[in-house]
Amino acid sequence: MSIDLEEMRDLVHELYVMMVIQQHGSPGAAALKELLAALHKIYRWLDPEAVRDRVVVFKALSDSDQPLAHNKAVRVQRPEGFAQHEGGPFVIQVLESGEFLLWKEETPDPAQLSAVAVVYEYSSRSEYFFAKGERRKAPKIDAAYASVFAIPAFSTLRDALSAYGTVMARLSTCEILKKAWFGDNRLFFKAKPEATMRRSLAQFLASTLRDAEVRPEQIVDETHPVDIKVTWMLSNRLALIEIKWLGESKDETTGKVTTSYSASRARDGAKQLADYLDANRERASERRTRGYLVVFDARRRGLTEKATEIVRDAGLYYADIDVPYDPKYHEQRVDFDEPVRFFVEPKCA
Amino acid sequence: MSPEAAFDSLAIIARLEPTIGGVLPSEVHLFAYLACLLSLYSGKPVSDWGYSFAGTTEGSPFGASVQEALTALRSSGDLVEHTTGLGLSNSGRQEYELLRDLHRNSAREEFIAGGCSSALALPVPLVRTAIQKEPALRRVTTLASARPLLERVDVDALHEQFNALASVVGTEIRDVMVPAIAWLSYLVRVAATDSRS
Repeated sequence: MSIDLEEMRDLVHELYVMMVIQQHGSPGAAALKELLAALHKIYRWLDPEAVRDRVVVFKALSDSDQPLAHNKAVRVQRPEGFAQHEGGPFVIQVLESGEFLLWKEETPDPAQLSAVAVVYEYSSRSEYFFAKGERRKAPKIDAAYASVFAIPAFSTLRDALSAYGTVMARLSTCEILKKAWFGDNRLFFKAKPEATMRRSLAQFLASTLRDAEVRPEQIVDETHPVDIKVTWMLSNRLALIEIKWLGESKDETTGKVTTSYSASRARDGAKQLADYLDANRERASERRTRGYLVVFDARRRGLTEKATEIVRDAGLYYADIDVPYDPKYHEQRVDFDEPVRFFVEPKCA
Repeated sequence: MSPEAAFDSLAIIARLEPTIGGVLPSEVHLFAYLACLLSLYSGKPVSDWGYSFAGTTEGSPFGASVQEALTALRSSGDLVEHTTGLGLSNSGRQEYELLRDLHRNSAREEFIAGGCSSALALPVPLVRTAIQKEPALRRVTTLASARPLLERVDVDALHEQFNALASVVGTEIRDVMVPAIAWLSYLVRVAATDSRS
């Protein structure tokens, strides 16, 4: 595979790392590393989405530079200290000692600050870096997370699935998953939304699971691919994820309902997954395999084909109604995890 | 035990632990391999690295010497197991600081620092996704069989990519963090394109 030079040139031009080094040289690179390390620490304790207005964090090229008056700042000795602070805006200076200075209600111009510092600004889910007045946007790796420096990493698949359900699926904040819907009110899926759901979940798992390789659509027997295969590194553990959806889908052109799936579709999925696990046991007997059934639940009560909106009671009627499984493979088999249901909410009138 | 692999393991854990918490063994292999690739980018021959890597069937880099070093460092108490992965004990930190000052390790430190700095800009799972798209590991995943990495054909393909990268980043930039992040960001895009096709 050769590198596309034009694409690489554009990418490098957009890189904030490159900009910082071009503007501030080696001292800028050192300051940037300290700034990035500090952002990871700060965001463990300060949720960027909970901050009003904006967050500005900077590392001066030298602590002797004081672009903001130190006597007006609160000294925060450890990043845990940020958990006590609410509201915003926040301006934070990262010190060489590992401590921080915090200004509240200050609104300095990041471009001006960046004359003697490397500056980071978070505002409305966008992130920027500044050096000597130049500005570059940090790439958005996952639209569901406010900051690229606050993307969690999970050690277990169960934790990752749970986070996906809450953060990405429930309100369809995932940019990929958004494309699965017919209309803005999330009443009907488009026809055949499985591939979109698979892509959304696979991308999330690939960017948050620390120790695993994620591959969509993997063959487990002669005729059927499983939706997602997760393989853990340096171990013999393997997970097969089967995705099913409930609710109704519509043809994009005609607006007619194409498919309607009730809870029985989830039960079919459970049976299918159990069969995959049996087939996989023969193909990969050296692996310790576990199956995960993931159900995107978009059932709406009393939905008619012509509906364009829904009231809250009907829209959220199934939010807490789990699918009854029979047989309960997850209780009968050691290789079958408890099914995971993501209730995907509509926009209610 | 390979002294190079022992030093690399300590250095990688020392650098990643403050950012990501405990470091998983597979992450030590990943960043040791990335550091080795950055030394290649800087014009060093593969043989200078001191130990070799293989690609696993999952498309992950694996250094047998790294694995051996991790086992030995755990036994000696230089590494401790946290719930989230491996960390340095006090003795491990002292050992790392001692080894870091040795002349033979100073060059390695530069590449390890460059590689680990990429984990400040990109989530570690994405660094793994990107590395799986570099020519040597890509060949492993295409062939779906474990095999040695950085054979002649791999090195030639990597040099082709690195020459292109250097022509864009510029050779005057000494900090390998910059080409590391640029290259990984490019490979992340490649991975995204591959997953759509």
